Amino acid sequence: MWLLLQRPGIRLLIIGLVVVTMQTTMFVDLRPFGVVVDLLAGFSVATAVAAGPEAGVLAAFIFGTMIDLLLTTPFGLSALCYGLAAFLIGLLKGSITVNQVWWLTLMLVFVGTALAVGLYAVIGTLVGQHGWIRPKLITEVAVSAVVGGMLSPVSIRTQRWAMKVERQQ
Amino acid sequence: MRLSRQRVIALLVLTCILLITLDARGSATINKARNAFAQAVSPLQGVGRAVSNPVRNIWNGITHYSDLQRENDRLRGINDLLQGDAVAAQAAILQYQELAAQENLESLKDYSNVTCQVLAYGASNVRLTIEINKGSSSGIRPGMPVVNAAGLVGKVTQVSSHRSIVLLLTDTSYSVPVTISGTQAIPGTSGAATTTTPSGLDVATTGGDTTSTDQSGGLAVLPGPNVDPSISEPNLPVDPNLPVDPNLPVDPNVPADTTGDTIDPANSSIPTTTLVPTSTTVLDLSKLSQRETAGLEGRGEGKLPIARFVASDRNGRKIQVGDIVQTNGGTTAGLGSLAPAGLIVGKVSTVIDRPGTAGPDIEVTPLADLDKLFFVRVVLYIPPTEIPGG
Repeated sequence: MWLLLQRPGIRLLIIGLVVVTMQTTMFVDLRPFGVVVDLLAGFSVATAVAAGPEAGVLAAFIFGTMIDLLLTTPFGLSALCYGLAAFLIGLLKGSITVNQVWWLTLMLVFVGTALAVGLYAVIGTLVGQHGWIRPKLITEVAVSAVVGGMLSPVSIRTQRWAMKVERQQ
Repeated sequence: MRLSRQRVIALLVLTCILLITLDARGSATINKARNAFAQAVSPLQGVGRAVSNPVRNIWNGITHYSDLQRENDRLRGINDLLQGDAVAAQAAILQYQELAAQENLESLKDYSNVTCQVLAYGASNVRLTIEINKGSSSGIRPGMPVVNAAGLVGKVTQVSSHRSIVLLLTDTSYSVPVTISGTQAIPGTSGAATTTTPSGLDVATTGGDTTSTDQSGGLAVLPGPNVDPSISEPNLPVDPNLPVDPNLPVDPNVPADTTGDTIDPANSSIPTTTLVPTSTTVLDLSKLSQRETAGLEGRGEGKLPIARFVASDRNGRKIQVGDIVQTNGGTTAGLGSLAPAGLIVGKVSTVIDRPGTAGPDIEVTPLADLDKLFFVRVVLYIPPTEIPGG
């Protein structure tokens, strides 16, 4: 059991289950500004920030598949959008050579979450879903991005633990 | 083996596209995976709801307290109005049932239903769904209509053994054939003097205990209470929680009874009801106008569903704000219906005239408050086309 818990994949599964439960229970009721916050997008991007684009893609695929299994939206769509956003933010983070500061990390998660939520509506429309691109999308992107950014200190620490990444000094 | 970055992203994109394609083709494997995962996560979600309850209550207390006060006042006023409405509606329902029984028409009481608790609203901003606590073990199947006491709520789209997902009628992927019926008088007809109830249901009352027919067209009428005092209490033959159109007690396609036959309560197995102990209720035929058929489509959160492709009216009657919209059943406007006829959807709120022969677009305000659903009923209706050998 203890050995199993040492595996990043298992840790990601556990974190995914907890976050997906929070997203489908507590955050469905809270709905700041009438929006269901996309926590999993934030955690996917946080993995990329903490452990690089490949790890981000892996986490995004696991988290995206989990939420897609609970929604009636096209299966695989969340995994695709989270993955693309995480990959891009992972690459961007790798290209930044200045010292990492807390607000930069927060901004990366903010931008990545916004990108994931926006991509979800755009790619959803491309695969034949109607009415996903609408004025309220701006609110949805903003709220998810802000909450994702605010939770980034927690999500990045959690994802560092999951991916067994030592903090850079 | 370590994959290059390009390969990682290519693998992700290809895998996801494959999954999206499989899902679009209705893969049974994906459906099974969804059901299995929903069941596996269900206990966790139960714990999650219990844990998040205090947080949710605090949040709702902070954000919705003034709204609740306002709504409470508003509901008290509506409640008074509904007291009168309910009695009138019960009479209309009864009359509808009698006529349906006489003509061997399909009636909503023919379908059993399952009461379900709403567990949660969907965790998606783009797909408007609710999760209910009953599934295939209660006889629920995908496609079945879902209603509450006010009207149509949506349809079941995903079913596991003890959970179901209901697509709300405001979702962009929802559509259902509907009938739009008004209470506007048809030109060239005359009717009896009427009184109007708070609901807008027009009824005519005549003294005595005799039955009568309306001379403008001849409708069956309710027996007077003096025939049998023991049946003077309102006695609904149908589940009162199933929404039935109170303004439309009869189907205009049904040949009207012009013989003036009376119904003998002593020999009739149909329970009866009355509005006023010393009067007979007669529906005014002049107020029962023609119906238009259309396809109702959801337009997403914050937008009213819209009825399109309205079939032209034979009598030139204009659809008006306040007209009743109910499910049509059958197949209309190219939309196969999974809902039986006669489920109330809502009222016409806006009529948008369009040039040409396409007919107007009609915005419909659902009667069910889709933002505050706590209990709903799944009507266990299977369309004849879906019944093997049917």
